[in-house]
Amino acid sequence: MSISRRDFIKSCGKGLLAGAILYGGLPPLLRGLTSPERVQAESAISPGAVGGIKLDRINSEEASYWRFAVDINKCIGCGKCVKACKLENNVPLQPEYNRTWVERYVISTSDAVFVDSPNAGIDGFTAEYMNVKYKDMDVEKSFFVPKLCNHCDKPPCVRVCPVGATYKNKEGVVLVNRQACIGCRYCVQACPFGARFLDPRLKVVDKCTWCYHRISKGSLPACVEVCPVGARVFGDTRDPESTISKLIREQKIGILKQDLGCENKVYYVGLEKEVQ
Amino acid sequence: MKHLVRAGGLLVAVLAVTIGLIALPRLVSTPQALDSYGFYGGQDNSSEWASLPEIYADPNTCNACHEETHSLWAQSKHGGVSCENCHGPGKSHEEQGTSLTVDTSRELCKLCHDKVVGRPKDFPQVDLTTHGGEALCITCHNPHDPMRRALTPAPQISHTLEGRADCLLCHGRGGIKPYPADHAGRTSHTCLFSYCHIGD
Repeated sequence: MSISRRDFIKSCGKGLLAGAILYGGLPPLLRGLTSPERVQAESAISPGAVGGIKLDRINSEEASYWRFAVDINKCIGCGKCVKACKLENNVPLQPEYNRTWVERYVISTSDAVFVDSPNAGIDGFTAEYMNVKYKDMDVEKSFFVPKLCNHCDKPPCVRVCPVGATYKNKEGVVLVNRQACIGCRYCVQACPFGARFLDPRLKVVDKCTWCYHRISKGSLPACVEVCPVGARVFGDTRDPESTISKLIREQKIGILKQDLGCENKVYYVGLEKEVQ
Repeated sequence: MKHLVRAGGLLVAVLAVTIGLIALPRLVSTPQALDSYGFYGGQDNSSEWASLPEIYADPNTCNACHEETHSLWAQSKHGGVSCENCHGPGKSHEEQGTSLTVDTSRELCKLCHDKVVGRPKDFPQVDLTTHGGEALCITCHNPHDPMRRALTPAPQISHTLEGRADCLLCHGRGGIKPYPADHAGRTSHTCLFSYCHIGD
């Protein structure tokens, strides 16, 4: 079989064209078929959008105004936040289901790093068995790192959901629609921060909502409310005088796994390089 | 030479077509919705989440009824520690007056104040295996004002403390004015530093 140069270039062109149409055109087509009213709702949010289609960068900044900050230098590892979260949000009390948890990092003088989070930190770190390991250790540095959903501006969990059950709402809060979730756990796998779990009672995915029922009424998230040392800060960045705006202005801030490009909205003060 | 120019031109053309046909439509058709509502466009049920009931209250609302305790607490070292950390979630108490159970155990105080690897060095910590025995912390420390006075006021010291460092010299067993029987085992340190007896 022989093929002329002309024919070869022709079929290459056709292949490219077909590929481009499939790659670029299918997602909006599918989206249009599944929920036309949502596209309309979307364009209502940002007046600059044309035909419900717009680029990522246009309005995500102004829409996501909530920010959460964790000051690692202040956390004392009392676990009050973990307890408050579970009571406030009716999270299963077993230690493997958590919307927020506290990790302890202990770095020895020989540069060995130990991380523990007994019962996710809900009982504190005071029990004998939690500290046996460190009794005779030469500790160079030790600190607590509270963790929760980062409410990423580019959430990998939202991208992978096969049924559109999880989303980032217009305020930038990542939520789960429990009626739509089929419990496939794909988002649990996709989250780089381990912030999601399958609720064993409902068989749907659960995660931190930043206490959406509280913040939408003007209260603080429960974990922020109970933190005795002010290590957790939450607020509206549109107000330049809010505690969170001041903290962002005045402190040096890091985010977890920045290289993944998720654009986390949970900021850490005093982040150590060992923390992942 | 000609064939090189041709091949080069072809390469450039193919690249241009590739970029034009694949990258451009992809860029234009990646809507914000992909990061907001995902590939399949989910249903926003934010209002459903917003309608859930609150369990924890704002400690500032406690002030409405418990003004005296609140003002003592607010200026004390425990001023930033929410009431609900010891008294439990308070929304139903605020709205329906259901009673709260306060946790007065040593275990609760330990959560913050036991000496443990990981805490910031400047945070007040004590080794609870040697401090206070089995007694409840609130016997000596007023949780609403831990640095100044005891929960139940004890007799104040009426004399000067100058030159009288050892309380037990006079107030110990067999002294001029011995301490009550239930004070057995206490040291001079506890008299003053537990904020029970305040001198001038």
